Amino acid sequence: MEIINQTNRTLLLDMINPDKMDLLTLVGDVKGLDSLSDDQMREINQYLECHSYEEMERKFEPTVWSFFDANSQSVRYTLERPENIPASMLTAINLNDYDSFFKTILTVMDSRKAQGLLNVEFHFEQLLEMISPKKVMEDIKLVRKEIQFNYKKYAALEDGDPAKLDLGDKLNLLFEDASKNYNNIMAMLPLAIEDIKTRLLLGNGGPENNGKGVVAGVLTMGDNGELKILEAPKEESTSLAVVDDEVTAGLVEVLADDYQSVNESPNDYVQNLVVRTFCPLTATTPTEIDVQTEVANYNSYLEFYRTSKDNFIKVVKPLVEKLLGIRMFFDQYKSKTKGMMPTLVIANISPEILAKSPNIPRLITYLNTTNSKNNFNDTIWYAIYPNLSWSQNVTNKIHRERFQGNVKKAGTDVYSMEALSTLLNVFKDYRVETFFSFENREETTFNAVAAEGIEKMIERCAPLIGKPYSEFAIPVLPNFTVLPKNKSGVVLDSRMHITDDNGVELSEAKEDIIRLWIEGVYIGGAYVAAGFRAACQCPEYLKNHFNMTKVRTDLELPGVRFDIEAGNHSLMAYTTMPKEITGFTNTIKTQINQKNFGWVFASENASQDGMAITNITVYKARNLLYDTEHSTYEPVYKTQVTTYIERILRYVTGDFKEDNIRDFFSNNPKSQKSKWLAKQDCINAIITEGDSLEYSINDMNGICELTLSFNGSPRNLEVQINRISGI
Amino acid sequence: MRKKFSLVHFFIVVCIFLLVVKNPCFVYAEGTKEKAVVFLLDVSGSMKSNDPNRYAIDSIAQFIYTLPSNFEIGFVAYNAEVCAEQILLKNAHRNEIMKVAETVQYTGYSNAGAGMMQAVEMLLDTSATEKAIVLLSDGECLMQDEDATKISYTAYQSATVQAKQNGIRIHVVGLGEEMEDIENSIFQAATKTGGGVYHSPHALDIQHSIDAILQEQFRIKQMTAAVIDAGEDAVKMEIDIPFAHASTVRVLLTSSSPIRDLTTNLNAEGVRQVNGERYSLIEIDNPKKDKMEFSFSGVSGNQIRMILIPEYWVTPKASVSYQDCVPDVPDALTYEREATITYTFHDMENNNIQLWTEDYFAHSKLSVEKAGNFEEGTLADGQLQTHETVTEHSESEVSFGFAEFPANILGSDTVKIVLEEPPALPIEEPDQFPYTIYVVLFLTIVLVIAAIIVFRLMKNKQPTVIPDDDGRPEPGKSSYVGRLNIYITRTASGYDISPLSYDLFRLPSTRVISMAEILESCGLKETFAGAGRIFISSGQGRSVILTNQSDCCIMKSGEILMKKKSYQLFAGAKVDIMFEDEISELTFQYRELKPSEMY
Repeated sequence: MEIINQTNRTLLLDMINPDKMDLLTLVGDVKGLDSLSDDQMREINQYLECHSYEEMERKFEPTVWSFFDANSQSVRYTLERPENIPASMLTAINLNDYDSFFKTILTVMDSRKAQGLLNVEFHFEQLLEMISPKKVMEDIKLVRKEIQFNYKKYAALEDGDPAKLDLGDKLNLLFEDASKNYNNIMAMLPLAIEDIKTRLLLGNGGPENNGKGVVAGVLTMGDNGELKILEAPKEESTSLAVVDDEVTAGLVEVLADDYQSVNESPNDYVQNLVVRTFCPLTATTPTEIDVQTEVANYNSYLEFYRTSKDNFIKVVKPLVEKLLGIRMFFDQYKSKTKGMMPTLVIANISPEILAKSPNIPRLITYLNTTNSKNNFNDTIWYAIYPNLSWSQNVTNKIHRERFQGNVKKAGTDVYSMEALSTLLNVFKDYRVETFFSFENREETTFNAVAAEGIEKMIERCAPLIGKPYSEFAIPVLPNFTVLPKNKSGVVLDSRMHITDDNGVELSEAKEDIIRLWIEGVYIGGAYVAAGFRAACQCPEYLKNHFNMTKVRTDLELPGVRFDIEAGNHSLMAYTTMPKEITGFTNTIKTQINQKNFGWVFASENASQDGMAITNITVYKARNLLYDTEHSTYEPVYKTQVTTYIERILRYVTGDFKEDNIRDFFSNNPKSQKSKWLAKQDCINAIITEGDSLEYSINDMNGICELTLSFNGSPRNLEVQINRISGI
Repeated sequence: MRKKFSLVHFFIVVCIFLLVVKNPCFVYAEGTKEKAVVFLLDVSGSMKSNDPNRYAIDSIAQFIYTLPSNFEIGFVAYNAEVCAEQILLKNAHRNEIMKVAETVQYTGYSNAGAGMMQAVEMLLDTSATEKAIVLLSDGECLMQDEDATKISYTAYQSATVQAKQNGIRIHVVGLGEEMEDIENSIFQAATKTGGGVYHSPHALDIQHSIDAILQEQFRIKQMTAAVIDAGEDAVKMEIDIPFAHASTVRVLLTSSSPIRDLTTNLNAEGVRQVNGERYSLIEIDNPKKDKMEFSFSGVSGNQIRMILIPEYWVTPKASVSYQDCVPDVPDALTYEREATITYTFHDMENNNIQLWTEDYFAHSKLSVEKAGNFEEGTLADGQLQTHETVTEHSESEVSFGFAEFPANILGSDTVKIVLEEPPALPIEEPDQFPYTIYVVLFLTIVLVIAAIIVFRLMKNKQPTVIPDDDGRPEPGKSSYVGRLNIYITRTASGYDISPLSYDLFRLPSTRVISMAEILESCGLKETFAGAGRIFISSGQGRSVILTNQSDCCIMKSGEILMKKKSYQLFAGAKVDIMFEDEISELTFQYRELKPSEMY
């Protein structure tokens, strides 16, 4: 791949973090400019180009801002940094693997993939409990165990011992992790909730003790032989505790100091809470518990936790869906040997803004730089346009809402068909193929397609069909479901109340169970389709997937001609997404096959060489260019092969010099066409068996007409010949 | 005298076609004819065995919801006595009838006399022009003893007589074996009052009888839209509603088994859905689309019939045009006048909407009645034309018959026609006649000029005036082969303008076009100062030539283009223009097109 070394650089048309640089800002003023300087391009790549999910996370730091609203006495979250609130009042929550919600969603995805279960079979509820305070506490227990273990060893070693310094490094890391929990009050809430539960109910929440104080005792026999549990005298237990007490006392001190230094406005209650959480002590000095206050605190903490978590999830869900999309884009590239790794350039700006007239010259200037040069390192081949608005037809009007229904609000993260068509009009000039998927909702999932077919999708894509840019528009369906709407309830805990005999118990009444609803998490199909197609461009990837067959892979050619629909290709190369449903009915499949519409994923039962495929496969890979002769939509590979050949032709022929064009197509074994023909049997051949590549030069108008014939289906390409003056 | 007349004759022949004038005639509309129907139902104990599934109740719904809006409908149910009734109600309250009907129980004796008396009394109170009773019964009068039965029968007879005297027609549906004999006393009411006699051997057949009554007796126009073999799976389909501007279209789904999960998708001003056990009715007010999507499920092995019942509120209009010609009779005093009367039908609410212009109504038959003479005509393009020779001034009322028309028509069915007498043959001197023509022509020209001036003044924007000396360069000799993609990046008004494109390849090679002309042809209302003096002409080598004669600042490839100089732009060239007002800005890109893209 000496000329074109990548054919899978992808532009994501979406915003991840408004505080970070975006394409328009980096391109800057383009008045009088045809293209950007190399320095500018390097800067854009430095800020926006990502080769992996981790790099994206590092560069864009997806963040949610939270602040406390004194008026509503609640925690407010926003994806955009509120400008009218002082920085000291704002808390930035980074959406990384440490965030409990994001972690939960990732765990759901991973375990479903590992188990290979369908949505209907998978127990989402169990994993969703991870958001509850109980699970937060369980995570902390792991950390604290490690802290205690290491601190104990640390305390035992002499000062200056190199091993002690090593342990010091380890402890620093552990404290760093731990401090993430106690440097903001919100993170402390689950700790406080569990702490109260531990102290009042011995942590098990059972009614056995009725909340009465628990005192350790010893089992003895009375004078008459009856069994008795006597309160153990405190001084007698010291022999065991003393050894540890020195260590724990040290740890208590370190934690208290750390809390004091990390927090700007520390208070004793939270300090004790932190100490109790990270260093539980045997109560050598028992303290009296004010049951009523603690129960009231517990209930208000729980309610506050629920409300804030609910608010948080509502705000963060769209961002999480984008992040999951990006994660899955990169996740598609699973290859033992790395070759042409997919690259994602994140515009970090809403496509609606990008599509405005004043901003298009900037986009054009950028694309002029990337796609109109004979340097193909930065060439953008694909674009992702997620969350296309799924506008709804008016159905029977409902005059009165008898039951509470879904609030149909215009999503701020939903992008319009108008913006898409404007951008496609620009992209067509630069031959950028755009994967777009409809907004994330139940109507666009596998379930909906399985039930209703693809008619509605076709109907909604109608404005893009029959246009000059149709060839570059790839509608992707359906979207992927990470968490179905009907299984997204999370039980946090139950309210606590004081019993008649002044005991404490967790309420079992239905209304006292504190529950929140995530309302479904989905991944736009466009991310996965683009990621998968980008992966298929890499010859190493193809080789890995087709090494079982006898078909050769040429490591010098990209996978532009790789037709996923051909033969059993879709069973050899498939997505990393787990199956979601039992499959489409034959009627729906007939409908899809008749229309040959769009990039359609399938969740079908299939096996290859005796191995069951538990992943989602690609069923159709078509764009919106309608071939009236065959009454079908065109496969996507044709467009990319045409683009690839045009670019290679331009490069090899020195911008379409007539003589060079003749050489290009000559029968000379060194001509480009001959080289391609020699590799006809490869899985990633540019010209496969049955294809042909012909040309004719029209001397009158100086046009070279190329006829690419894909298995008999021709595609024309016209290039303007660059004639040397005087000839 | 003879010579004078021949000169006159000559001028008349020359100007004969100018004399065809169209005069709108006076139109007035009468109110709609109100009609009243009472559904009389026998709910005696015997019905339990004849109609165990209460199909009769479903049929009431089918009946009342199918009738057009000008029907007032009442309901009476009887067993040993009148056990349920609902007074005559207007269209909007028909569901009240169903509420009452659904509560009745099949029990007790059969006092048809009391029921009929009540139904007739109900109709006597109304001022409706047409009145009818539909009786559904499974047997003759039967009371606890012979005397009571006789009293009931007598009452039935006298009610029938009273009905006949008051123009009330009684249609009888007999159910079951006992009613096989259509000579029995219950059916007598129908034969005496000119009503229809129908027999349903089984309860399931009531639906067909009701259907027949609606069509034969009430002349309800309906169109079968589909007949579907139902299955357990949901059936999804789309039907055509070829009734543009109909006031109401009722879609009735009937089956012999339950219809479930009916959902519809349509565009209309209002929709009402009524679901029964074996029928569903969707009443659509002012449908806005000519398609409608359905989905429903039924029971395997059963058919579901889908019927459309369109209803129009109509105001007819008439216009008359005359064709005058000189009669052959030498001593005639007036022209021979032929009137062409064009009838059009308009929506009653919005008189501007002309109805029935769709293909569906082409060649539909209408009858026209004028002064007792009936004439049958067919619709073409929503119009009905009749011709008449006019000899004198006349005013007459024309009424229409819609008996064979494929829709239910409400509203006015009459229109008044005024036919003007033919003008007298001119006897003036021939030289005076052109003078009149000249005056008319002069006035017409003055009016046209005035209209043009007003139109020009009303236009917001002055048309682009191209001064002679605007520095327009010489046209190029090559053809245009490209397109300009234009992006307005800033406007004086602050509005965002969508990206534009202008196909240069459609221009002849000799055309030099200014930026103002390009923007104007793209439909822009904004003014861009100086755009009129920036020119594009065709250049060699598939390029275009940009010439700047304005004070705008034009930038390309990092340099400012000099004024009064021309620059060659090749494919992909991007140019930024800052206009003279120092606010408006645009960027355009010249894209070269391949031959296949130039369409």
